[in-house]
Amino acid sequence: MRHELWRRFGVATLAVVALGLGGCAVGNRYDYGSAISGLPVSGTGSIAVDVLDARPYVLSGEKKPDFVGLQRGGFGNPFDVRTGSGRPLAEEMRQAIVTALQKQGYSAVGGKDAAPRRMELRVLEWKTDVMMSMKTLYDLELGVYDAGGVLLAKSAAKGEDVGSGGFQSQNAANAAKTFELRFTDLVRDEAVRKALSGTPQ
Amino acid sequence: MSRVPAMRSRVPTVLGCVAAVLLALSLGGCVGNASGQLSLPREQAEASTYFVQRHAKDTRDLASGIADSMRTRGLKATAGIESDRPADAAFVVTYVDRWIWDMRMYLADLRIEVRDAKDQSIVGFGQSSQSSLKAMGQTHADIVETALDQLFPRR
Repeated sequence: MRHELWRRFGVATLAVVALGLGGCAVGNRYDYGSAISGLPVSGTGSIAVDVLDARPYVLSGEKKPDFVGLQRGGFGNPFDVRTGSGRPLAEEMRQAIVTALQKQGYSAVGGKDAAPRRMELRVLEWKTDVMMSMKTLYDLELGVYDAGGVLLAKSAAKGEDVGSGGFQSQNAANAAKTFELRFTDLVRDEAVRKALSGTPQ
Repeated sequence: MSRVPAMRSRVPTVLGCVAAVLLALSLGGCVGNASGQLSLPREQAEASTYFVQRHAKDTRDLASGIADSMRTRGLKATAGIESDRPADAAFVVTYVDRWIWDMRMYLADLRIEVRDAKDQSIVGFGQSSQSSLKAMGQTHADIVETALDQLFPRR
């Protein structure tokens, strides 16, 4: 009788825990499309903006381009986190950059379009990993080129940020803020600012 | 006498104990968290002036509490509405506070952002959140402290 009670308690509790933890971990989405509110540069010229997803697991096809990280269940089992829009991460990041540049006075055009300046962000790594803590792995390279394709300035950031993991909305907001912070730091580089500030009309 | 039936009879007990531990762990893991960072060099952060901008819906004046806590950390900080911002403020501190009712109002989530006053570019953020259970015995000032610890840790 006692064993039967333990068994029922065990099965019921495991079901509740599995549902609860699985519910937190499955289907999470982080939106990067509106991540950037301001940039430490302003001007009125035209900039061609390109974001290239160079993450090895995306290039190999192991992960889809909308993959942004992992949310782990109660046993550490990973579930993929995807972009808020379902579009590739590079497109969401580009949207955030274009919106921010427009706020600063620039007109932004497609990465292949002719413009006096071309900004290229290469995403060699961008992945969050959340269980009890939230880890953000990043490896970003920003290049600014003139109309002839000559590199004017380059900045890079590579590392790992660690904070606490929370609910999806908090994790999503922290992921977006981390991207805004890291990208803003790349633009804050003196050579990059100078190259962008001198953008001809 | 075979040991197999005896082992089998212990399985439900072990299963129950494992489940109870997992339940306790899963509930304990969701009570509160904090994240954030500041990209300014420490010397610049300590020498700069900050203005904590109170938002229109803040009836509790969290802005003053945030500025008070920043001053106790050795920073030069004032608070007020947007029009009060001093011309020499290098950085503007904004915040989003989310309150929830659970037999009383408690501050469930606080997100603080530090931006360059000139161009609104971000230089740091700090976030702290808690469940209703975790909030018992705590004031919103404790959450302000936790969020600021992510940006300006006390020495």
